[in-house]
Amino acid sequence: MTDHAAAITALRAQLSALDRTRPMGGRPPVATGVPAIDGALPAGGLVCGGIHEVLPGRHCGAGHGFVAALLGRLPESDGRILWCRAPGPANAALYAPGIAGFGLLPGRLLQVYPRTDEDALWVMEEALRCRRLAAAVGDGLLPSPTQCRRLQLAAEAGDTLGLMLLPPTARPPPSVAMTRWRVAAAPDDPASDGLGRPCWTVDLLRCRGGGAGNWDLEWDDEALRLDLAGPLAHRPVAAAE
Amino acid sequence: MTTAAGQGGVRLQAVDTLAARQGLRPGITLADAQAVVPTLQAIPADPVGDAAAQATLADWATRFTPLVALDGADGLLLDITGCAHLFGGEPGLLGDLDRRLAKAGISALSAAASTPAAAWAWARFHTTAGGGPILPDGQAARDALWRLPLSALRLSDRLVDDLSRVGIRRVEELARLPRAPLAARYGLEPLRRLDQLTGDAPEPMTPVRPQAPYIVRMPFAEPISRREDIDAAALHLLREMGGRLARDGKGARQLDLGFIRTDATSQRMAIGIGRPMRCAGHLLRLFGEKFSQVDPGFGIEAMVLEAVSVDAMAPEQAGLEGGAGGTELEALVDRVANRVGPARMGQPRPVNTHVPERAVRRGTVDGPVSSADEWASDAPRPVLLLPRPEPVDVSSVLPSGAPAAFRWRGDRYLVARLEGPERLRGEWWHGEAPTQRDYWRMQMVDGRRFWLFQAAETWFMHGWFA
Repeated sequence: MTDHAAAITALRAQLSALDRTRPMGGRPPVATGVPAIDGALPAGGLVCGGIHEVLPGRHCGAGHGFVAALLGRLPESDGRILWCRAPGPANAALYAPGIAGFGLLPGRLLQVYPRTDEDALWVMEEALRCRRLAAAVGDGLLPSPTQCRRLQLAAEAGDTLGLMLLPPTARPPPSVAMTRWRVAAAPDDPASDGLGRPCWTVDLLRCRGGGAGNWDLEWDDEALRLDLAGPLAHRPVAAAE
Repeated sequence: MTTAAGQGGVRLQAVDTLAARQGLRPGITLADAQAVVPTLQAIPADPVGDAAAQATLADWATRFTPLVALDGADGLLLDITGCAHLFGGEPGLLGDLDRRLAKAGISALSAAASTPAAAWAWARFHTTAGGGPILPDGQAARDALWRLPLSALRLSDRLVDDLSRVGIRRVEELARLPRAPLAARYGLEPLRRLDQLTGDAPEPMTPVRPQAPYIVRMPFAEPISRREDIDAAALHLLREMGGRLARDGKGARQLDLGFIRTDATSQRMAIGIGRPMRCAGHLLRLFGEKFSQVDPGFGIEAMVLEAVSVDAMAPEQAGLEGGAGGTELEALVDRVANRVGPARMGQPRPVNTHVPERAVRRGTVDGPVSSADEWASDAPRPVLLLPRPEPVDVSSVLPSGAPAAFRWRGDRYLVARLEGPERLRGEWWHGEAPTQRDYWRMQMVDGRRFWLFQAAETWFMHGWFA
């Protein structure tokens, strides 16, 4: 019987590799550094060679902060990070002095500002296919399911981490992305003096090969790492659910 | 025939062959012309359109020689030194030129001569002087030119009038006069023009396109228009260019590919490369992104590849073909820069300023990566910044004067807590108005954090924190 158990384990490992929920060798997954979250992800982190979507709130910087914090965990030896900003009406754009506070060195970024969505998707696909980039970020792009599939294939070919910061829409269409997160700002500890550490509500909406989840995080701006938010007692019931 | 407003009313500015046969000449008034030919069709002159058409034609003419210059408002000057043999000598080149222009519906006079001035004169007067379009060399040339009327010298109308009043009507008569008195009476202009005609005085030409150090061209027996044919021709040109660059130990930094169409127009596309390069396959990929914009029209009859800018390049670099690590990233950067435009990509660089929206500039992609210290700031900065601060509508105020609630872009925001102010002054030493901004970090009831400032009693939204 033990032979069967071993065979089944091996087959499962093979299947999950085929399914891309675990890396097929190559680069290790990118852990968030929060054990509760990494434990909920089948590979123990965000799989490189895949697309991960982050849904930010409206007029809210939490999604960008979360992405910057993840990118800051990529070792510098992995290479540069391409940040492709979708064209759009005059709206808030990434501000380099601000992301430096989330452990992401702005000098690592290659920023691209294409004129059209078509160009932006082309840039993303080319970037994801390139093996010399640590990650490629699509900021404000909402790919159609077909386009998302193309990006996913490109990321698999290049073994590059693809992060899509979707435009803040209530219900984005389904996609083949590895994971989809919603990150929103949350009120911080009212006992703190002035404004405390940045606090976010992070929802794992879907995850290939895994379940959903919900965490309250805070950004430790001294140790430059994500932590589970401290005492939950003061939080309204809705946020803790 | 075209007309333009002139002295004493609307005058003819240009006439076609049909009108010329009726005795109409540029310069007479429209009223006089209509008296001679009542069925006259006149259209207003369009100098801007004419200039554009002349430039288009000049670009097309680079199919014969890279040295093409605009000549006045109605002519083109081609330096065909050393390239006439490619078209079967001067008669072959002129025949080819005339045939192609006629096919494109452009009536033109053409001639070849050993100096620009002689070519100018011969093109306009060889039919009346009774000679072929190619001016012979030596004494024969002099004899032919000497018989031309004075207007073949490109003198001003006034000078021609003045000289004809004293009985000088042909070049020959002017050339026979003693030079010193001629200069004393009429200035240096007649002598200069005369010397330019014979080649005794230089006449430099200004080509419409700066001459590229490396040029390869490919004419087609049959016009092409299919994408595969364009690709194949481009690859052939790039290989030939690569070979010539390799012999000189050079690599291209900027390449320009011209598509010469059968209707005497052309289209150009340029690529820039981050470092010297001569690998045909890689260069073709860079061009290939743009080939979808090629409009073949009625067919492309030739393609011209110019290396506009070259740099020294070591032989071993040529062998990498984008396989090694660094070059793969550089290849990506080149492709992206050529698709979206080099100005649309860059690396953020810190700028030492107090004005937040100016604290970052878009630096070049290469160059050293800025260190963490350069970005260190004393006070927290937002992750997203509005390109332009937007005024907010404060609806209720705290005792301290800070807003407790405000409206912005149609939504209402309730301030839970705030932190500040951080005072930033305008850079009066850069000649700006000495404004100051008091920045506050504000947390809303739902947890969102904004960066607002107060300047001259008004509150502005400028960005949001994570």
